[in-house]
Amino acid sequence: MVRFEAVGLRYPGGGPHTGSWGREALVDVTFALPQGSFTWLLGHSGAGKSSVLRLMHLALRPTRGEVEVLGLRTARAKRASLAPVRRRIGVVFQDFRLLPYLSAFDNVALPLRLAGQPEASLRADVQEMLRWVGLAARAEALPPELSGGEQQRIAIARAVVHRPALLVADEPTGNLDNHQARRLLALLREMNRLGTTVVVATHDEDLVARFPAPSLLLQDGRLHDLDGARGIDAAEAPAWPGPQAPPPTSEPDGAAALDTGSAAVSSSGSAAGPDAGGAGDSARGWTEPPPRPIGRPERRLRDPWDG
Amino acid sequence: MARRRRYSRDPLGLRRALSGLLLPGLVCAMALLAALALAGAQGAAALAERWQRGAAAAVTVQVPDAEAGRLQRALESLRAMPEVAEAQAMPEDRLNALLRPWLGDAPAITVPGVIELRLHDARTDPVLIGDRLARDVPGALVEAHGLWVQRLAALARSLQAMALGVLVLVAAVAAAVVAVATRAGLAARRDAIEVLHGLGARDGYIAGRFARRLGLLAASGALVGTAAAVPALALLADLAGPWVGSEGRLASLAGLPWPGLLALPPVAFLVGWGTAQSTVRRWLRQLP
Ligand SMILES: Nc1ncnc2c1ncn2[C@@H]1O[C@H](COP(=O)(O)OP(=O)(O)OP(=O)(O)O)[C@@H](O)[C@H]1O
Ligand SMILES: [Mg+2]
Repeated sequence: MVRFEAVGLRYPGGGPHTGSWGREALVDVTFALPQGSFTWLLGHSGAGKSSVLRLMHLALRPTRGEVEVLGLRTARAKRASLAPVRRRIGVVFQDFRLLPYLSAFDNVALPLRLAGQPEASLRADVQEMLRWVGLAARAEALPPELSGGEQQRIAIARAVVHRPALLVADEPTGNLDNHQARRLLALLREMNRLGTTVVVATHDEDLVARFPAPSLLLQDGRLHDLDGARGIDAAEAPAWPGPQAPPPTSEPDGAAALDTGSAAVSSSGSAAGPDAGGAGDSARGWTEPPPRPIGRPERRLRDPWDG
Repeated sequence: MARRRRYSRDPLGLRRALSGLLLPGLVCAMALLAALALAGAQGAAALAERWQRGAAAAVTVQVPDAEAGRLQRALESLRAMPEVAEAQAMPEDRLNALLRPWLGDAPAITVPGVIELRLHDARTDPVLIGDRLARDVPGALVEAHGLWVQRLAALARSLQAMALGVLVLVAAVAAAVVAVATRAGLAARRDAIEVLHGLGARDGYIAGRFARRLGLLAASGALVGTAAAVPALALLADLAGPWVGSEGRLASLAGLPWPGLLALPPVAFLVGWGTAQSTVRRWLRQLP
């Protein structure tokens, strides 16, 4: 699903054309996330959370090492082969990145239109998604006419409307109040429950405590071992670094079911989770993700905004 | 609904990012120049053609003391030469009419006989004809105004080449203008392009949106420019009618280079489309 292998990342320093490169923003980052997992990405400001996420949604390529996303090894992949994989990834940015001149409806419809879905079938899907985030009435509003929280929900709707295989959120609760943040997290857990692999970067510890799940902790561009378990890079681990194996969040109210103990696993190749299915997946290398649930959102999604 | 319809044709908001009259205005001016150059090229070509075909082969021979025998001998010897296509004595009344302004009605002055020649090849050296003729008919003179006609034709041909050069230059400037406009649009929509790129839009999709918009802007400018050029060109063609042998308003209107003029808007579209495509694709390569 997502696999980082001794990834190093440098940003160009001193302007794009000077040819000089800054220090490594990520150093030897190695981990793997199984299909259908929910993972927190934690770390202080500047630790490299956004950088990891950018590598995951193919906004960057690693300077060294290998990043494999949805079966594509991105380090040396042809540029044209990235676009189809991007279409299977949903991204929620802290600053939303909505197109200000398009209505809420058109913003949410973007991924479907890029995928070439015909207008007739697209309309129902988008309206359903807008209803899901509680903004059906504002479909024709432009983003600048919406509140921050409403824009946030439009951004979420856009990220999940095409039922991505991987959902990546970079500090999605950054400018939401507690209540809204919890509702947002419930949305993300719901997506996860339906089979989407979810990665959320945050430094909101309250939120993590409320929704315990396996986490990766970054410090200064390195993966930090939470429980003193050996890091994968140090391990004489199998050729394929074992992923952490979070219990599938199949229980409807995902968050409550998870115990904090299993959530503390981080980047540990040796520690297979209690769930053998996940580990078995990893041994096979996740070449083929299991089929994603298909169907209209209205039949599969509960509306957390209903209260 | 209006907003929704607006989307499907314009997901990048290019109608607002690439609007205004600057680009169509510039292309309009360049289409005008191109139309002028087209008409110039055609006019020069027509002149060169006419001069070379009509007058260029005409060489005149003067035969002094043109009592019937000498003139006849000169004609026979000229007609026997392989490079001569046609030799004709100028009728006396026409000759007199030609000379009257200078000589008046003075029967006392004996005028030379004049023979008009048409040569197979305008490049034949008339001096050689003169030398051979002088052996048979001493005193006969060959007058070769073909030389200056040739120079005029050469001038017309270089004018034509220059007009074609102007066309190429105009197309190049148009491409440069479109490239600048495209860069402005890219800068204005940088965020939107990055969002679409991040959502998995292919380069061809984004470049296609820009190309279509800029192609249409260029074509509309060219359409206006060409339409504006037609009356001016028709007037010029009307004035030039006597030289190129067309008579009347309608004839000169029909004599405009219509295929070229009608091709200007589509060509402008292609220049705009192609320039935008390559500019946007090159720009997109900086994104991962
Ligand atoms: N575009 C960039 N150009 C150069 N350096 C960058 C760029 N983006 C990030 N960096 C550097 O990379 C390092 C990691 O940054 P990153 O944005 O990944 O941190 P972060 O964990 O997301 O921080 P925050 O919590 O503040 O968002 C930082 O030292 C930062 O200065
Ligand atoms: Mg960040």
